[in-house]
Formats: sequence, structure tokens, C-alpha cells
Amino acid sequence: MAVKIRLRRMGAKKAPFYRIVVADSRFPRDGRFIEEIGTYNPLTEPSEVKIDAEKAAQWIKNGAQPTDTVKSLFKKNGIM
Amino acid sequence: MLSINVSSEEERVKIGLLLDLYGNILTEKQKQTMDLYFQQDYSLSEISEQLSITRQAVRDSLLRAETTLFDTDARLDLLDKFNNMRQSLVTSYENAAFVKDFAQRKYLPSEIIDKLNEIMDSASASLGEEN
Repeated sequence: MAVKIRLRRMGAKKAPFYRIVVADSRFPRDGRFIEEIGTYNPLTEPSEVKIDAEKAAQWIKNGAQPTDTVKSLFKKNGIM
Repeated sequence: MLSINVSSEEERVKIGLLLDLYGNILTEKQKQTMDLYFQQDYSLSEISEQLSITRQAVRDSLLRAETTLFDTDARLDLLDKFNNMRQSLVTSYENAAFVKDFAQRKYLPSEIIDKLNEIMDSASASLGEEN
């Protein structure tokens, strides 16, 4: 069973807010995920990215696959 | 090929806002594929598997939806208007907070503070900040 790290949008309409979540690759009906390891707030100036680097590294070491968007966020923020 | 760089989080945010503004003119299927792809970060093959349609059909649906969103925005220009309005609200909020701070330090009448609080409350309500 593959585990993925995704950038998932939360927040209200026209007030986007994103979480970086570790989730099963299958589709959860209720949007559940295993763990949140970061957030991305595009509305602040400059936008604000928070990532728990330790957790991110641990999940990747355990075989979790970040999506391209998450990979790019990790790179920009000095993780990976 | 999709015209946006999907691994860029900024472009995802832009598509997300276009979906907020114009999502209702898309078909149900397009809304679903766009949501899964751009808001939830699923891959073409994951979406294809989940919806039991071919990968090519997912791609076609995204492409058509994307074209519709960009064409509509080129005509209505709501994204720019929205971003400008948002920026003015942020500025109003910051200015009111600045004046409020001053008013408190100078012991100005509470009516002034109340009005400033009203301005700040209504700006943050319009900004929809709940996070």
C-alpha cells in the first residue's frame, strides 16, 4: 500500500489554505489523512510555508512518495 | 498539454481561485477532475483509476476545463478584481490596526476604538480568514 505526501487544499471559498498531508494513495471518502506535516498559506505577503522537516524526512525514509508539487515545496524550503 | 506548471504551488492557487469564481460553469465531471487534480493533488492515473475512466479522458477533461476557466476570466476579469479587492481589505485592516494602536496609547474616546474594531472585524470577515 503506497503512502503519498500531498498538498491538499482546505480553507473556505476564495480563502485558500493548504496542508501538506501524508495519506494513503487510495481515495478516502471523508478526506482523512494519516498525518499533517506542514502548511502553506498563499494569502500572506510573502506566502508562508511551514514544514516539520524531521517528520518529512522520516516519512520519506519510510517510503512515502511526495507529489511533484510537494517535492518542489520541499526543495524551495531546504528539505530534500 | 495543460498550459500551467502543475508542480508550482502558486499556479495551483491561481487555478483554485478560478475554480472558486467560475467552477459552476464547468460540467460535474470537469469539476470533479479539477478538484481532485488541483485541490487535492492526485495524479492523472490515480484519478483515472478512481473514476474508472481512461487517463486520456481525465487529461481531456482537465484541458477543456482549464480552457473554459482561462477564457472566462479573460472576458470577465474577476480574478484581478478579486485580488485587488482583497489587497485593499488587507490595507484597510492594517491601517485601522495602526490607528487603533495610536488611539489606545493616546487614550482617545472609546467610540473611536469601537469604530476601528468594526472596520477591522468587517475586513477580516470579508477576507474569510478562519485559519
